[in-house]
Amino acid sequence: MTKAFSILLVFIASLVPSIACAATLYVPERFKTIQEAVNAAMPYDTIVVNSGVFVENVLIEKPLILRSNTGPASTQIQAAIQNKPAIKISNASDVSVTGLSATGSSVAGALVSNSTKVTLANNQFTNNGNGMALYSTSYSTIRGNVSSSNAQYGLYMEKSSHNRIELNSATLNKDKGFFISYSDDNEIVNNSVNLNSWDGIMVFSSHGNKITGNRTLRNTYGIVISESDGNEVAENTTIPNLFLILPIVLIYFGMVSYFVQRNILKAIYKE
Amino acid sequence: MSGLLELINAFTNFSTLLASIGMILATTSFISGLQMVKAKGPIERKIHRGNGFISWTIFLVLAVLSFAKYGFSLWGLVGWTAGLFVIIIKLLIVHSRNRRAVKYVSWLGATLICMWLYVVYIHIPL
Repeated sequence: MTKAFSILLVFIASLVPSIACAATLYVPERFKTIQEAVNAAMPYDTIVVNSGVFVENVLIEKPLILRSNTGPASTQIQAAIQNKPAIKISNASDVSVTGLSATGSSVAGALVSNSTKVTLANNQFTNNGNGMALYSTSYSTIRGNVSSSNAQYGLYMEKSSHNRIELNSATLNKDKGFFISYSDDNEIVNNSVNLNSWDGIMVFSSHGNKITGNRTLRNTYGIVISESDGNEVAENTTIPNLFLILPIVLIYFGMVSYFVQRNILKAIYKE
Repeated sequence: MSGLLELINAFTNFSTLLASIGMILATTSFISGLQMVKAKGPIERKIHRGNGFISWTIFLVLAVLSFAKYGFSLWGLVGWTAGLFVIIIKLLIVHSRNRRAVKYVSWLGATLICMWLYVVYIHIPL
């Protein structure tokens, strides 16, 4: 009994340092810039960013949580150097970025490279080269982000696998909504990819991806799959019923309107 | 049932509602225009002109709203100008009273209906 108790004590004691290390750092109260907070943070710390515009390029190379306090509408990262991404996550795992907006980079709002278990959630990426870009990234989650009005793609993925892309919105991008390239076994589900200048979702040389429940409306092409095998494409909407029903209903109302107006005018002028 | 709800929900968007009214009036104007070809009754003329004028006004309002909402773009300008061009050509032909030209007015009317279908299509909320 005593031995079991001491083993339990040792187990709890082993957990204590990791819990004690997870501190919360506040920007701009404690640190003026997000990068200063990132540099000062220990692995698995949380950085809370309060509202404001932060003109900088943020580089994250360790596991941590970066989140805004008030949401992307009032917490913006504007790229200080245009040819670098506004947020870059490189060679890291267990990184989470939520509730921020990033703009003004000719590369990407958020660029993730050579990383695993990254979460990008509820962010806004507008007026960048690309909204989000993932290179050689795996087991990551991209959820609930808005990526709009970017010069190229809402989301670009290259050589990335086993990621889950869900509930994102990619609209009004000048090229493609999503461009999945050389990426296998990803789940791309329940996204809204509308009003992009070229393809909604383009899958090129990528295999075993699950593309389901997406809405791709009013793009030049809805979903394009090229040189790819074994992808599951189901329950995506490219022409909703409303697009057919509404014009028919309106023409019918137009005919009814003609007969009604004619009878009213006949009654008035007593032809 | 969900289709009906989706249809009703579409009309809560102001631009969609305006485009829909434009489409209805354009259809009414088109039918009365075809009736005018058969027999030139004053009632048909009133319906044709009244509905046509209002739908033309709605077209201009939608164009202005579009630029205000999405900003200026060259393709937008080309599209709206092309629509306006069809309307003006149609009016010019009708007012010219040239018998050979009037032969093709119904085709222009059909083109206007197609144009309104496209206007409705681009205003359906996503």
